[in-house]
Amino acid sequence: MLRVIGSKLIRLVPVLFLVSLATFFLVDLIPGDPAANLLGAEGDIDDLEAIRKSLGLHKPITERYGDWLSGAVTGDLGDSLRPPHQPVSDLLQSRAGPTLRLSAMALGMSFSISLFLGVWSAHAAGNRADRMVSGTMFAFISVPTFLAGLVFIFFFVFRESVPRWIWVILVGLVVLRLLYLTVSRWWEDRRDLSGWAGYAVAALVVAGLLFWVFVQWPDFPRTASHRYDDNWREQLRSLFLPALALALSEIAVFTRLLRADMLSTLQEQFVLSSRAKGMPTWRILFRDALRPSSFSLITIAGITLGRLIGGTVIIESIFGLEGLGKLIVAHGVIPKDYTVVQGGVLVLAVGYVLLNAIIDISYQYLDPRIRRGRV
Amino acid sequence: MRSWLLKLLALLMVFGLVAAACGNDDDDGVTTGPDAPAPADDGDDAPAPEPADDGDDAPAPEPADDDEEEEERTDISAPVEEDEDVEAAVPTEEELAGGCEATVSGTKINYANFSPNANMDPTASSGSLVGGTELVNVWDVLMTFDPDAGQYNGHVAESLTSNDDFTEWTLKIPSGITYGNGDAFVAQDVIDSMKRFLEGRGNGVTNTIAGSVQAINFETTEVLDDNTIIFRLNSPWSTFSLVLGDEAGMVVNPRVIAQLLEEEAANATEEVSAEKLVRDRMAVSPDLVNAASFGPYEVVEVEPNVRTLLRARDNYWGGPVCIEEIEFTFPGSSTANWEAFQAGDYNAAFLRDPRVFAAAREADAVLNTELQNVGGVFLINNGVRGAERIGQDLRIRQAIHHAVDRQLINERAFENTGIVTNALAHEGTLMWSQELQDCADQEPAYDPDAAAALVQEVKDETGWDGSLFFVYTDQDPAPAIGQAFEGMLEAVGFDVSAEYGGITTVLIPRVIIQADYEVSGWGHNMDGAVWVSSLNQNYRSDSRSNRTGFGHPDMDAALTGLYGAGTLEEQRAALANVQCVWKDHLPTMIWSVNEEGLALAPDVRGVQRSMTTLFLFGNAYIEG
Repeated sequence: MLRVIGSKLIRLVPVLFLVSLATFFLVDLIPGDPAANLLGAEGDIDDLEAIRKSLGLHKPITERYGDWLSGAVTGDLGDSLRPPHQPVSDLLQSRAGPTLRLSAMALGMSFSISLFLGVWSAHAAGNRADRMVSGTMFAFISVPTFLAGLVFIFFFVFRESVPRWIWVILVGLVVLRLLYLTVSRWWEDRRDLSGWAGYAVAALVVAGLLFWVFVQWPDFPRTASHRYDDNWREQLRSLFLPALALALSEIAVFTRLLRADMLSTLQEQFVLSSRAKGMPTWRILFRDALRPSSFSLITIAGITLGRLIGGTVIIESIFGLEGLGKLIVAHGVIPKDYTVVQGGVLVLAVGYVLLNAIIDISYQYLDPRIRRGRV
Repeated sequence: MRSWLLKLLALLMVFGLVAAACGNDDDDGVTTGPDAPAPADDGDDAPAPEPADDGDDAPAPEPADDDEEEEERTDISAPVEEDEDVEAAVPTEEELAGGCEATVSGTKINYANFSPNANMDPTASSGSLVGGTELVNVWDVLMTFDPDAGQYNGHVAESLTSNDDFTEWTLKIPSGITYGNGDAFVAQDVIDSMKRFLEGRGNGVTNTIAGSVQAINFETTEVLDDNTIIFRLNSPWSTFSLVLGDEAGMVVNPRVIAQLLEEEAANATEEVSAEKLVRDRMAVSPDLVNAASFGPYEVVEVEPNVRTLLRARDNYWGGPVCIEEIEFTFPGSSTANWEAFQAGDYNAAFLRDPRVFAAAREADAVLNTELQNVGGVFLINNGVRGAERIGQDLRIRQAIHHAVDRQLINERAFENTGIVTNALAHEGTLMWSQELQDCADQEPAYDPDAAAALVQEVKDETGWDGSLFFVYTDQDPAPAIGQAFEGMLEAVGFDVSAEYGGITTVLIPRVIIQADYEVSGWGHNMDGAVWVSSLNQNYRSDSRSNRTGFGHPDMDAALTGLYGAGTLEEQRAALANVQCVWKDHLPTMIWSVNEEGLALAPDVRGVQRSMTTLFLFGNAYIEG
C-alpha cells in the first residue's frame, strides 16, 4: 500500500511543475498590468514605475517564475500583489472553507439523491417511472448552473411558497400512494401484518417528514456572503441553494451513470442467483448489485469534487460567497495577481491529483479482483 | 392507478405553481440577474458612470415627440430635496442626539457594501465608496458635511474657522478624547496623521482628498497648543473643510505608527518600505487599529477585500453607541445588494444603479442617497502629454456633442430610469443655478446634421479619415452606454473602433498610463463637497491627474475662482463661470448624473450621511 501511495505522490511532482509553469506563462499573456490595479483610476502616472518595482514586476518573467518556484518548494506561495499584500497561503486557507463546504454539500446531495434514483430507475427500467426519471434527468443536465442558481433565488427566496407547496404535493402523493397500498393490502388480508403494516409505518414516517419540513421551512438568504456564523444550521441554510444549484447537473450525471451500470449488474448470474434464493429486492439492489455498479460513479464523483472545488466561481459570484473560485478569478485573474492565481491553481492541482489517487486506491477495496490481481 | 397518479400530480403541480406565483405580491419588482462583480471604484473619480433616478415612481413614457420627451425629463429631474424617500431617511436633530443610554445588546447592522474594503488604514484607502464607511465609523472624522444644507460641521473638531481670504484656518479640537490604547488625542496628531496620509501617495494610493492635502503649507502651519492648529494654505480655499471630512480627517494615533515603524524597520528592504509593511499589518490586525483609533466602533474581525465586523466601543467620547455590531460584506453588485436587502439578509444596502433605484422606489424603500454630478462623462483626448490627437480640434468636440442624444443612451442603458444632463451641476443639486444652466444650454445641442457637417469639414481640411478610438469598461451598464454612443458617432461620419475591458486591464492602461484613446467612458462623481478639488484635479492645465490633456488659461482662471468663493451664492456663481468657459471649449462631454446611497430598513434610524456618501453610525439606533 505504501508503495502505491508513494508512486502516486511521485507522479504529482512533474504534474504540478507543468501546471505551475503553464499557469505562470498563461497568466502573463492576459492583457493588463497588476500595477495598474494599484495605481487606480485617480493614480498618478509618475507612480507607476515605483509600483511595478515594489511588486517585482520589473524583473523578467523567467526570473519571477524562478523566485516564485523557489518559494513554493519551501511552502511559501508568496504575497498577493493586491493590497494589503497578504500571504497567498493565508488567503487560500481562508477561502478554502466555504468552497469545501459548498462542494461537499453539493456532492453529498448529488450522491444521496442519485443513489436512490439510479437504483430505482434501474430496478424499474423501461416502465413509466423510469422514463419519468430519465426525462427529469435530461432536463436537469440541460440547465446551466448559473440559471439554476437564479431560478432557485427567485423561487426559494422571493416566491418561497412555490417550492414549499411543490414539496407538499410531491411528498403528499407518496403518502397517498403508501396509504393506498396499506389499505389495499389490509383489505386483501388484514391478519397478514407483514403485508400492510410496513406500508402503514412508511406512510406515517413520510407524512411526519412532510409536515416537519413544511413547518420548519427555512427562510433562505439571497446571499451567503454574510453567513459567517459557525452554527451548522446557519451554514446549511445559507449553503443549501448554491449547493442545490451545483448538484442539479451532477444528480443527472450520477443517476444516468448508476442506472446504466446497475442495469448491467442486474443481468449478472449472482443477482439471478440471489433472486432465485428469494432474497428481498432491497437487499439484492443495495447490498449485492450496488457495490459492483459503483465504479464509474466513484470515479466520476472524484473528478466532480475536484472540478467543484475549482469551478464554483459562477455560483460563488451569484450567491456572494467568498470561496476559492472567486478568489482565483475575481482577485487573481482579473487584476492579474499572478501569485494568487499560481498558488490557487497549485493547491487545486494537488487536491485534484490526490483525490484521483485516493479513488484509484479505493478500487482495491471495492473489487477484490483488483487487489488480488496486484498481489 | 399510475396513470391517475401522474395526471393528478401534473394537475396539482400546475395549480400549485400558478397559485403560489400569484399569491405573494410583496416582492414585485424583484429582478435577478448574473451581475458582473462591481468594479473596485476609487471613489470620487470612477470610470463606470451610472446615471441615477430621482425618485419618480411613474413609469417612463415612450419617447414620442419632443414635447413629451421634455416633459418626461422634467419629471425625472425633480430636485432631490423634494424626494420623500430621501427626506424620510435624513436624521432629525433628535435622532442625531442618539436613541439610547447604552449599547443595545443584540442589535446589528448587516451592511451590503458597494465594494469590499481592503485596508482599515486611512492612508491605504482608495476612496470613500470603497471602505469609507467602515473607516469613518472606526477612526471618526474631524468634520462632517451636511449634503442638504451644503454646510460643514465640526464632528470631532470643535470648530474650524478661516480668515477673510481663506488662506488661514484655525482648527480647535476638544480635550479628553483618548485613543483605544489610552493615549490622549492632541492637535499635533492631526498634522502627523495628515503628513502620513500624504506620504501614502507614493504607494499608488491616491485620490482627490490626497491631492487636496497638498494645498496645506506644512512648513508654516502652526500647532498653538494641544487643542489648536492654524493651517496655512498655499492659496485661498473657501471649502478647505472638506479635507478634514474624509480620510485625511481620520486621525491615526502617530505614536502607535511610530512604534510599528520601529518594529518593521528591520524587515524593510529597498523595494518594500517600513511604511508599506505597517499598512499591511494594519489591514489584518484589529488590535492595532483599535489601539490607534477613537471612533464609535472597534474592529472585531477583518478579512481584507471580504468582510469587516465592528463592535461598539465602550468608552466612545461622543456618548453611548446604540447599535452593538456592524458587519460589512459584499454581495457582488448593486442588484445583488438590493435583492439581498429585500430578502431581509441586510438592513442597510449601498445602491448605485438607476434601475435598482427605480425598483427600490417602487417598493417604497427608505433611501438615504445623493446625486453625484458629472457621474457620466465621455472624456475626449485633447492631446494628453503633448500627443497629437484629433480631439484637440474644437470642431471634433463640437461634433461629438452634436452627434449624441443623451436621452437615447439613458433609454438603451437604463430603460429611462437614469438622469441625463449637460451641466456640471444638475438641477436639484446644491451647486446648480440658473446661470449655470443657461451656459450649459448654449453648448452644441443634439443635431446630427450639424455634427456630420463638422466631421466632413475636418476630414476635408486635414485629411483625417474619421477614425476614433473609444475605450470603456465591459461591466454592466457600460457596454450598453458605449454601443449607443458608438452608433450615434458612426451615424455622423466618425469611424469608431472600440475596446471594452476591465478597469485595470483596459481603461486605466489606455486612459491613464498610455493615454492611447480618443474618447473614453468615465465618471467624476462630484458630490456637494468635492466638486472644487475634483474639477481642478481633472481640468486644470497643470494638474498631474488631468486625464484629457485639456488646458486653457480661461479655464484655469475660472477654476481658481472656485477656491476663493465664500458663500454658497458665490460658489454657485463661480461654478456657473466655469460652466460658461466650459461651453466654449467643451473639454469633455457630460451626459449624466449618478445617484448613490443607502437603502435602510425602516427601523434603522439616525444614520448620518456626510460627504462622498460616507455614513456615520455613531448615533444610529434600531427602533424598538
